[in-house]
Amino acid sequence: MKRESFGRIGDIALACAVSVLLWECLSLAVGARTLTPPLETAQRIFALLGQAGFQNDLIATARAYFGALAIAMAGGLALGTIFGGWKAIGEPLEPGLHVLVATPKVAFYPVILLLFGLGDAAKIAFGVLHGLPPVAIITANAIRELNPIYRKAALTLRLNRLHTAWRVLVPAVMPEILGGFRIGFGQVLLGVLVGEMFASSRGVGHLLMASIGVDDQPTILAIVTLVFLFAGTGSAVLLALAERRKA
Amino acid sequence: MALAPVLRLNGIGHVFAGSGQSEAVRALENVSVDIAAGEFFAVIGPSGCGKSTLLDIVAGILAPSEGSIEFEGKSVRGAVPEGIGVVFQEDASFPWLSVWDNVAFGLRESGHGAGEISGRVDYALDFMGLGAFAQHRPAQLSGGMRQRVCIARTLVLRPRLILLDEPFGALDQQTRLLMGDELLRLWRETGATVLLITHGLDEATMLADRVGVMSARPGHFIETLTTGWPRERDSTIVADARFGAFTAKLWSALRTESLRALGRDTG
Repeated sequence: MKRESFGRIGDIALACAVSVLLWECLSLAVGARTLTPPLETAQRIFALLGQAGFQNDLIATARAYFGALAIAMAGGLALGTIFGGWKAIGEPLEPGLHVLVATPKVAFYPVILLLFGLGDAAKIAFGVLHGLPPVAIITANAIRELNPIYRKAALTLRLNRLHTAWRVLVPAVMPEILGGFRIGFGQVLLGVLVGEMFASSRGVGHLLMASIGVDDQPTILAIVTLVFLFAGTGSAVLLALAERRKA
Repeated sequence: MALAPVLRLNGIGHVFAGSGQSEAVRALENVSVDIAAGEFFAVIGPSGCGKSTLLDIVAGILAPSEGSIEFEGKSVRGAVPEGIGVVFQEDASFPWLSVWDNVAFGLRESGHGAGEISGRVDYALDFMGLGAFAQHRPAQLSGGMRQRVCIARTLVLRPRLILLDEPFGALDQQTRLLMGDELLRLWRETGATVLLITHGLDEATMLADRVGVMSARPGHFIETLTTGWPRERDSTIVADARFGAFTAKLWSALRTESLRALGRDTG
């Protein structure tokens, strides 16, 4: 591992340590009843992970999340490629995606429930609604802003169309697309969890709502911490991949 | 010219069609020249006279509206022929690949064996002074070194005609002189024909056997001048009195056209 990588890991470790310290201080200031301290939260996380009920919730959320993520990524990539590659289609239709990003998605929730009913399909649809538009917009922009010199270089190296696309154009836009995936990754998680919070009888989002209802602070903090760790790890991996492609 | 032309441009003209409110632009008009095998030919002209358009047409990237191009007796139109290599002004290295993989890229695509690729790439990297940077990414190199990567990527394909579109335009004067030396060495060792597009009068004077001076848009050759330099030459010729005289001669041919390109009345 390079010195630069060690440095980055050190920075992350330091940031985590400072965050935990601040959390501990805040918990002391407002009281453990209001804000569960880090150690107790960690104990609750391990306790939850050992419970069959929580494992089922985790599996339900994971199933909906990864389903929604796959649709949002593939759909966003396809839509972005069409919008970015064909001006005649992208120019009139892309503003609709921008409007969708700016609109609070909760407003669509009744419609989604009418269309998909209560259950996994609605959670997936809500996740896709959150994650697909940013992936599509960023992909379209990456394709439009692609430096034309790469296409020219491919021509002068006498590449055929397929090789030009696969060996030159795709790698050239990959850092931006990975940036879009990174945003989509978090947005899909948000969509699925919100979906579970409001219209589901299982899943991590549902458990979070139930815990809020009975004011179970340790469980609330444990779930929030788990979600934070999952989102942070995924985001960091995608960021590292994007930077590696750029370097 | 004693040698048979390797490249023949015959009455090349090009019009960029207008779109929406913009009018059609005639970039080139009746450009004709014969370039001999092994010759170093430079093209200079005012900004916007169509020099880069001409290079795109010669490379086969752009089909001309009028006229014809022959490379080694075969017509060039709409595709880059085997035997032509192009180096652009912009950094065209692939940032996602190492220097070594950048240089090997064209060879891999054309199906060469691993042993041959390795030998040719190592030679090209050493030739361009990049051997120690083989595993670096382009982002870790200076602008001049990245341009050398692009030259090496072209060089490994052993082109018989090398087209250079202001390859040193973004570099400082000292680096340009040194890169000029490397280009002359490359030209001598490979025996390739070189067509250089440049806006630098001194660069054209130092490097070329002949210099074609283009008019303001629509561009065409108003004069073709022979430098008379020996084949064995390098950047030290800038100190030669004939260097200044030839550069002045080029400027004299170009000045009126440059003023026209700027929209100034030339009287």
